[in-house]
Amino acid sequence: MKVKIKGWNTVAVWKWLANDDKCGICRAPFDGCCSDCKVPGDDCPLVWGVCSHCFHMHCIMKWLAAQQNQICPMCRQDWQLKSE
Amino acid sequence: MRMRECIFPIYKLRCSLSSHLILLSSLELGNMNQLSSKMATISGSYPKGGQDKPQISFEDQWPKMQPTIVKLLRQESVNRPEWQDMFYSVHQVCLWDEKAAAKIYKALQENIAEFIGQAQQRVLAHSEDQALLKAYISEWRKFFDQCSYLPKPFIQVEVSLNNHPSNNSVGKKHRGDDSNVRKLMLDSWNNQIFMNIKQRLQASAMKLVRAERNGEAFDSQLVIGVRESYVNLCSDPEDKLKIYRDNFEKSYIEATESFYQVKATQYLQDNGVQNYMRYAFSKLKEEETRAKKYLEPASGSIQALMDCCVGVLVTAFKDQILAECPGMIKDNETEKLQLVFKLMDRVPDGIGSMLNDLEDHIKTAGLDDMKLWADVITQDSEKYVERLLELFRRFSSIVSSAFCDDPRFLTSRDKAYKLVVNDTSVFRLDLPTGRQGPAVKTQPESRCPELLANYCDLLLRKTPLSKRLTSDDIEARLRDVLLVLKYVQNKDVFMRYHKAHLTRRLILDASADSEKEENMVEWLREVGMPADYVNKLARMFQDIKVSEDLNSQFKEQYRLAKGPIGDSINIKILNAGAWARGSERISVSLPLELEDYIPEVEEFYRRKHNGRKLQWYHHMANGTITFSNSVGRFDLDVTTFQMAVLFAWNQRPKDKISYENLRLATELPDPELRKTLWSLVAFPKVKRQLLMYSPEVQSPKEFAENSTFWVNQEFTVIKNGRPQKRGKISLIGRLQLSTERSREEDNEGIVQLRILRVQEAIIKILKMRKRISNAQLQVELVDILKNMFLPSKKMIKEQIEWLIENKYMKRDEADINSFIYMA
Amino acid sequence: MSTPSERRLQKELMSMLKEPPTGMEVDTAVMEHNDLHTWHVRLTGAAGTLYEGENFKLQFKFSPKYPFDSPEVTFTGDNIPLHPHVYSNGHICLSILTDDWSPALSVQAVCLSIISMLSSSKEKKRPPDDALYVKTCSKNPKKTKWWYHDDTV
Repeated sequence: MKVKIKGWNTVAVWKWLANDDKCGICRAPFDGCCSDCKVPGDDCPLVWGVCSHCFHMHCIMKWLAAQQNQICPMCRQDWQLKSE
Repeated sequence: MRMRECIFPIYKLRCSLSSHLILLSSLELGNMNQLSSKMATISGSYPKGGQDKPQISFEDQWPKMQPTIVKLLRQESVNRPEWQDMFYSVHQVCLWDEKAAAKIYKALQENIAEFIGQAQQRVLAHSEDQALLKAYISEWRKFFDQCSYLPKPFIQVEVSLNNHPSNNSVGKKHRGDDSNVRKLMLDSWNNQIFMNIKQRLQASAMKLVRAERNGEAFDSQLVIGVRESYVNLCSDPEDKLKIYRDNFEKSYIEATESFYQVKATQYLQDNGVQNYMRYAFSKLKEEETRAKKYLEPASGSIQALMDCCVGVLVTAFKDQILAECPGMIKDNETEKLQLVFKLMDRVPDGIGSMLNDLEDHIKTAGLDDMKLWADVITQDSEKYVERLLELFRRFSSIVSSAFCDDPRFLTSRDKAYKLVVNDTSVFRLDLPTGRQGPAVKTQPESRCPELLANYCDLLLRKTPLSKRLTSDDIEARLRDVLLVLKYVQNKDVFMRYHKAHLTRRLILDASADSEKEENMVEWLREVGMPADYVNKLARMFQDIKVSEDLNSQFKEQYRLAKGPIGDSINIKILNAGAWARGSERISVSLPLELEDYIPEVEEFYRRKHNGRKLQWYHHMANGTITFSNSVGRFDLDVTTFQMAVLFAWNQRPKDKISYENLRLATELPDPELRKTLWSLVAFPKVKRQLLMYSPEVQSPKEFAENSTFWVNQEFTVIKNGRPQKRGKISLIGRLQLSTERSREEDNEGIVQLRILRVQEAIIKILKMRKRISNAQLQVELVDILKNMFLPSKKMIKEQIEWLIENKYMKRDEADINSFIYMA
Repeated sequence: MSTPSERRLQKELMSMLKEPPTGMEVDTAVMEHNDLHTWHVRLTGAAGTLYEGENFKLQFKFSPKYPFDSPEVTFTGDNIPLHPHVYSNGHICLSILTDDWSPALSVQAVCLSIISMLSSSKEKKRPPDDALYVKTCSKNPKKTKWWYHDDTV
């Protein structure tokens, strides 16, 4: 008797790889979405700053729009988007 | 004299054409005014002396006038000079003699009375009904004609009598039918002849109608003529139909009623209820036609008569007729039912009991049918849905052919069908109660939504059924499902099962037609499924497309790096938010060659999407293996867990391996290992199982640590009763979507979600209303939730109490049955 | 249903009720349900400091823009701490309440800052401009253009 694999359909789900489980701004889990969105995932992405803090993109955009100084809410360093 | 030059049209007094008469009267009116003004100038030349005896007196003039009056009454011909002289004489006499008007009036009265006296004698000379009527009608018609002519010369009299000097009102007065002379004529006729013989007239007319009802023919003009005299006789300008209504209509209706009181009872006794119904129906029609002939149109008489007929023909036998209804519904006698419906629809509150009969029938017949087929339909969702639809069509066809799709009957059908669909006596879905938190006891529910979802799956998945049907057939059947779904109380259960099936189809690439899949989502939206649910389904399709792109990129890259081996690997990387419920990880020791792919995929994904990590859902993963033994070589579709178990024998094909050792080898958690082993030793559709085991057990729970398992060296695919050397078979069964433990939580989730929805809905209603009665709250709550589930009274009560306790709302102190929102 | 700011306040409230941080307690009795926009928090002076054993009450007012907009925080009640950065009307001179606010801060973080501000005080006294400020200031401390003296006191 011999068993050989002919094909495999594998399944995985993706999650955000964040340094915290919650967004520091809206306090909603990164697995979920920001408080303005309904569905998590590609439509409500996370963004990382060079300071390595991450937020829902919609949350940090709102904060930066409300502020003169573009600083990270967590560490008060200048906020700059970390490029890939 | 100049006035003789006035040209009157040739005047034939026998003229009976009324249109002609109207023409004449308008011509006369013009001439009359002209005449008056001319006479005024003439009269100016006469000296007007108070003491002198009038030069022209009534006594002088009357003998000249009277013969013409008699001629007119008798409808004898009057020539133009005679006619014109009448005007002149009346005018003159009224001008010279102050008392002339009253005198003329009195003299006219006497002449009319005398004439009527003679006419009465002529009428009463006939004793036979028809002759009497004929004579009366002829006398009346003549007289009535004259009522239009005779008053004309006496305008001057009218003016004096009414003491209305203004030209305007004179003009008005003698133009209408209500001149004094005319009134005098009609009243005289009324008092002298009519009052005396009206009883005989009516009796004779009704006798004729009765004769007609009994099938005898006669001149209907006689009855019509009598009616006309009643209508025209009335001189009361306020209510011109008074005499007609108080006498003719009344006696017509009474005669009809007493006729049928006898006949109907008799007919019913002789012919039975069902024949009677036909009789009553035809008589109603007949009487309506007759009424249109004999009763005055636009007087309300016809309606009054029909009300009376319905009363005596239908309402009087309501109970007997309605008693036939349940049997007829049962026997599907639609023609007879339609008759009952048409009869009862005219009776006040006649339909109510029929609605109840229909509801009772649908409930009983529906549930009996379900019970009869219980063995089949609890196993086979296709049969179940077919039975349900067959019932729906049957009930709808009764409503359509017997009750003309009357909205009241449609509502009853819906109400009763809903009960059948949601009935729990044949099969029930027991939702588990929450283990922690507030104690929730749930009521058993119908499995209908689950079976509907299963049926949808059969249609949308690649199955023998979906292969057999055409695309249009499938669409029609899906629409049928939506039709039944409308009646399902707990649509949330349907949604859960439907989503689970869809997940399996997408993961296993098992959809028969992806376009139909997406159409179905839109149809669900159209029938009012909650938007957030439908959106989630739509997102799954979107997500699977993203994943397909990713898969082809992966294969492309893998082929370049490692050669064609990558072709056998497919990856599905899904968005956790759109698909997953539980996030529990199930450990499994994969076959080594698969294990190698894991970091490859992870690295590939990391490069694509920085900031994301993958969580493997091996319980959803699956594949194809080639299994060879002494009999032959077979392609088997298996789950990844089955693969892991089978690989335990790869190095030791002949060994018997204990349960305990299999667990060590696969690293599967206990419930998953048991389930997987069971699927390999007792797969329902396979005659020779892949694995053998000992000792024999009845369920996977009974495997012991030292139960042993070994590969069936005789395994083969059996086709047409013969073992095959080659073959392909799927051992996947229903793909597992979550772990055994989280599945239980899943059903609890339904209940928890319902509690949440009830709370949300109550708050929403209160926020809007501020204050609401308990009864109203229940109604609005059911309405808000109707597209998801029907909340039980108990659940509502508990949630209200919880919300009160937590100060979201309070009871109104003045009225404990009302609630107030607390903000 | 609820607004984003209410959802966030709800989360903060839940976490403070579930795991109450030392020295602070949310007074839910005065908090009407569904109105999360005003909070009262009781503070207790930390042991080994000038304020040991004393109780204070902080009032938080949140705008609908919270957490993008800082809350209005003042001492209230009959015990306003005697502190060089706390005015007798309850206003607090603390940069994170205005210029240095960050949406990553929270009620709990603000309370902690205030407790630590009290704890680091070496002298119990009002700010030197207390009388003038209290007479002329706006009711809302966020409208004051603060001059942040020093972080050491």
